[in-house]
Amino acid sequence: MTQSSILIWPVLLPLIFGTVVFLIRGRSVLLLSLAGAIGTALASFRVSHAVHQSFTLVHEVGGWGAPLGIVLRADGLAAVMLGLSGLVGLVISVYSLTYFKSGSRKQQLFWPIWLLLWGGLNGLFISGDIFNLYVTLELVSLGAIPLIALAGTRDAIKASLRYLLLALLGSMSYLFGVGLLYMRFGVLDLAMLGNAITPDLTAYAAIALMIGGLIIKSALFPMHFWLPPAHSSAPAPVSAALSGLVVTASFYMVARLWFYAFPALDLAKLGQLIGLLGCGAILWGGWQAMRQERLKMLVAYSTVSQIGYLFLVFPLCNTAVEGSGIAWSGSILFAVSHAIAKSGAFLAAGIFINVYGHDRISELRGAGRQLPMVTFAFALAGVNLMGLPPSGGFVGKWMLLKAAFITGQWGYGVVIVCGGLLAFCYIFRVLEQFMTTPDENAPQLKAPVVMTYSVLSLAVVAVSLGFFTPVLLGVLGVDSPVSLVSFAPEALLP
Amino acid sequence: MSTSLIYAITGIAIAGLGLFHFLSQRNILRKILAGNFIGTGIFLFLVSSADRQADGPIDPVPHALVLTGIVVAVSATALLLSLLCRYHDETGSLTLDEEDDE
Amino acid sequence: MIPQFVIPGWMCVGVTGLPLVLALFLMIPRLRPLIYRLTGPIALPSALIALIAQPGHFGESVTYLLGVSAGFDQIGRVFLFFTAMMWFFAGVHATGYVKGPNKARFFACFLIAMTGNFGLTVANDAVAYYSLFALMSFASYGLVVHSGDALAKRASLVYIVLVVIGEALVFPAAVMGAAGADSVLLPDIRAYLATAPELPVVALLVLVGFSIKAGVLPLHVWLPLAHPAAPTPASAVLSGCMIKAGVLGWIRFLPLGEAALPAIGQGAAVIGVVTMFWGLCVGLTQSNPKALLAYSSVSKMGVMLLLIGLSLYEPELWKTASVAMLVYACFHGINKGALFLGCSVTPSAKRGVAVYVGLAVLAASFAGFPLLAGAMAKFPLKYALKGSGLPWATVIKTLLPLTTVLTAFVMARFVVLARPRGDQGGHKADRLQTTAWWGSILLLLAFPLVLSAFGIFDKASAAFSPKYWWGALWPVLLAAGISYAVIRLGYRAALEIPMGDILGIYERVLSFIVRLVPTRIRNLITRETSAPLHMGISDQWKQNFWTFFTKGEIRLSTWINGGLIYLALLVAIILILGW
Repeated sequence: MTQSSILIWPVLLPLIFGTVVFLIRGRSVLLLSLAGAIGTALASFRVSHAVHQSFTLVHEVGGWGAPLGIVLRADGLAAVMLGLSGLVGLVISVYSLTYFKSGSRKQQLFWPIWLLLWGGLNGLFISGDIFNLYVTLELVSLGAIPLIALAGTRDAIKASLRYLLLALLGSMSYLFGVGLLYMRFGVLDLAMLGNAITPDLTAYAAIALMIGGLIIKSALFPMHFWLPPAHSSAPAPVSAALSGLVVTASFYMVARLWFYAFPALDLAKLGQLIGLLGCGAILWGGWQAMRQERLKMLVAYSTVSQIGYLFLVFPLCNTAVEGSGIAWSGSILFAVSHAIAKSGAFLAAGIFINVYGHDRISELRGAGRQLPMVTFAFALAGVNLMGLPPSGGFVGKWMLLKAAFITGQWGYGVVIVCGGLLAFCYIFRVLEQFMTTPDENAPQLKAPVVMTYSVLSLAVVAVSLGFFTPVLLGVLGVDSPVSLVSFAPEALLP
Repeated sequence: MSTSLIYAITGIAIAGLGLFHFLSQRNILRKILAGNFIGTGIFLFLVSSADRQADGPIDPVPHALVLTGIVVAVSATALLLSLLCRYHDETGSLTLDEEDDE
Repeated sequence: MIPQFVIPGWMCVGVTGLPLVLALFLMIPRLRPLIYRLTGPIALPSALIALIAQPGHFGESVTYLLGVSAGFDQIGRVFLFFTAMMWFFAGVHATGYVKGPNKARFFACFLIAMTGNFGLTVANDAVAYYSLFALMSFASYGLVVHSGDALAKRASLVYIVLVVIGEALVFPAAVMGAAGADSVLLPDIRAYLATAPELPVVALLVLVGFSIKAGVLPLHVWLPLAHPAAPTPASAVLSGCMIKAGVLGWIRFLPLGEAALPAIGQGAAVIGVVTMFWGLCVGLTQSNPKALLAYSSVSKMGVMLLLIGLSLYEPELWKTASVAMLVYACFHGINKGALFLGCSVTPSAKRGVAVYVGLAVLAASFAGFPLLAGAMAKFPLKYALKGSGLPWATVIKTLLPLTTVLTAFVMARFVVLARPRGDQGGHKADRLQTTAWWGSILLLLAFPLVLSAFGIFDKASAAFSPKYWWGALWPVLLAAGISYAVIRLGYRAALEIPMGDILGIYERVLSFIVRLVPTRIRNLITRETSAPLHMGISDQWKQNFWTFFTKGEIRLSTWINGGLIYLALLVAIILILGW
């Protein structure tokens, strides 16, 4: 056993536990699932820690190397994402212990699929070649969609069907791109591809197909329309996993390809196009969120808006301009904090639905008095979504804005600030309702304890994430594609 | 024109046909079939790339890819079909766009 | 002389963070009564370290945020001292004052805002200043909204909207400075901005952004609404301390004394002068004592902006202007805070000599009565104005006595409004609250000691020279005499301008604009999703437009459209790459 073999556990553990849980019945399901969740999270943290301590880990599964074998690779970016999925996944698992009715069919079905999804996500983050990225992305989609349908409502089935059809289109598109690249350059490994790739029409077509497919999957405006119905009709822990992790994973793939496989190409103009779409997402998503009447729809549209910020890295991180690398760390930091905060917001919305039986914003007045802890958690998540300090969202926005000024692209700066104002409007609309004094005879309500505290823990982490920026940058700096020198913590202060 | 090029072009053509139907058909069952068409076209295209070096040995990697791809496509199709059954049970409809007709 | 020590950065953070730690304990219901009692005293350590800190020492850490730096300079020391003292008195006052079901929420917001307000005085980097400023601003939303009645709701809405606009203006300014300087330290940012081409943009953003908190015309509208709406201890710190955070923001982010911005400086000075008079004139017409005090604060913040503007016009002036601002901010913080606390103590008190004396001392000091704090604070101000080379600075100098007279009238009116009446219906102050009020009066009387503790007494010592006494005395006597005559004759104010004055205009303009907007677009904002009836079907373009915005989401999601967008995206990417 070499040290790098720890890489297989974040993928293998959830798959093993998922299979076992699928086969058994009764009370031990919960116990085994929890064991699997804790084991997976610990394995993920272990990898992140190991990468932070030393360097990029590379593991050839079964001793078979590229091109035929599967190569797992965990660099700084992968380590950050693994840590994120470990944290969010663990909290979602704990929350789900009491979310589904004990012994119900839904509970029985949830755990194996969720563990499968989680394993797929971890696999995606440490895949070293573009084809394994495809397989894990499919695993993630095939895990996510039944989980949406688990809600069992007509809306949920419809949303999941629509999502699956579009996901199919997206992954076919991506696969076609993979085929083109392999035909032209004969390699699949990300690093090798990065060296081999040359600017020609085949490469461009492949890039268009791959990025186009991933834009569908990551719901970037204007391909976002499947997301709000899907994310809002799913059961709360599933919404959290989808908005927190699955969408982030698709963005991660675009970033991975862009900065690791295509750095030799001049993609600046494409970056501008994606940046425009990102701006569209920020404004359109924020505006639609403001117009929603249901809490989960609002949170889902907020995801559409926040995804836009992530994609601003492509126009803002321009290797030709010194210091613009800060956009890279900014967007990853933003992705991490958004994932945590958005999961928290969805889980909080789940508690509201659980307690009140609905999520119509106008009828949630007085929730602040009746469910103070949950409201507090939602407010903390909202602080992150608005990008207020000291949340990770704030630091991410700060870095993106800084990159916009350094590269002289002030337009993006204006959109970043306006997006924050929109976020304030839609979050404040909800919080104002919560803060209103409830009716005199409103009953005292009891929030489910485990669920409440798991939401609160996520929200607290999201808000305090900004404090620990240097730690995250430290992990992210391991084999970073862009120069981190200009924003290493030491350089921040003279 | 080599044999593999013919395969490649045919693959692209099949995928294109599939894409056209995928987008234009309203019936979900037809969409699913069209989706499988796209997949088949891409697999054919991938297989044709095994013959990249004209006089060298056949490259085994594309076959491995296609095999994996087929597994994925079959699972996706199965999931789609079961969801469609459920959707049909719930709504009696086979299309998704009825709100368009409001 | 007070011994001075080097205060390490971690101690600055720790001591100013104490209220936040205390706020955390509010989560345990059993501890709450104890925490309500500790809310005032928790401010004292901060006042103490401000007093004994040796200026010019900063501690830095790169382990948190984007790098954190904290420490004391002369300005931060003075600001923290009077801020902490007024939070102390207000906190003691709040213990018995605040009641009702939202009590715990009030104290949580109070303590969090306190941390923000203390922390930003020791913050030496832009991120920390911005963060703590935001913490303070958002937490004080909970203070303004506390009572939950209609006035509080309107005030808090106006307040939060303006706060967010302010944040949105300051944020890009801070990032712009930090990006150019490649450092988050405020001194580095100031040094960079002094020669930076983007200085005018940053200066405008900073001036406008922080002027919302400071309450400068025309963005002052939240102040006269929020101060009467908030519970008295909250208004005391809002007006005494928190609006000074806006002033401190100007000082921290602008390269004062290093760069000249003649046009912007003159503009700021003009707005400052207008604000001065506006606040006094509108304040005179108020019948709510707290609204009156709020307007008086607006006026005094105009003075601050005037000094900033003059220093931007000619950097050399900053040396004297900074001392003037320091002394004036300190005086205003203590005096205004004490006046506000008086609003809840005096009306319910029995008609006794002591209460009248307290009230009179506060009002007289504020109006510039000889030997009291207000008169002392005027001297550095006069020096600064005298040194100004601005062509129309002489005009300001001649107008100064007029503001003194007006201030005296405002204070006379305040005394009338807040006079002890033995009110039975209203709030009844307990012993602790009364003691806190007297404490703040004592601090005001000890103003010379405070100044000498910070080594700036010599700038104000001229107030003790008898030749200036008459100049300070006659406006007060004049105002007192006329006011007394007016009351005896039974005249009432003929004009009453509503609280928030031009806010009404804003609201009318807004609603006018909204009415100009076609119904269908207005319906978008009110979430009306069906097309308006009066729209003809034949009107195809309008129909399409309407559909795009209301049903755009649904339209997008139809298969053909969704698929076409995807194809268009592919083509666009290939074209862009191959181009």
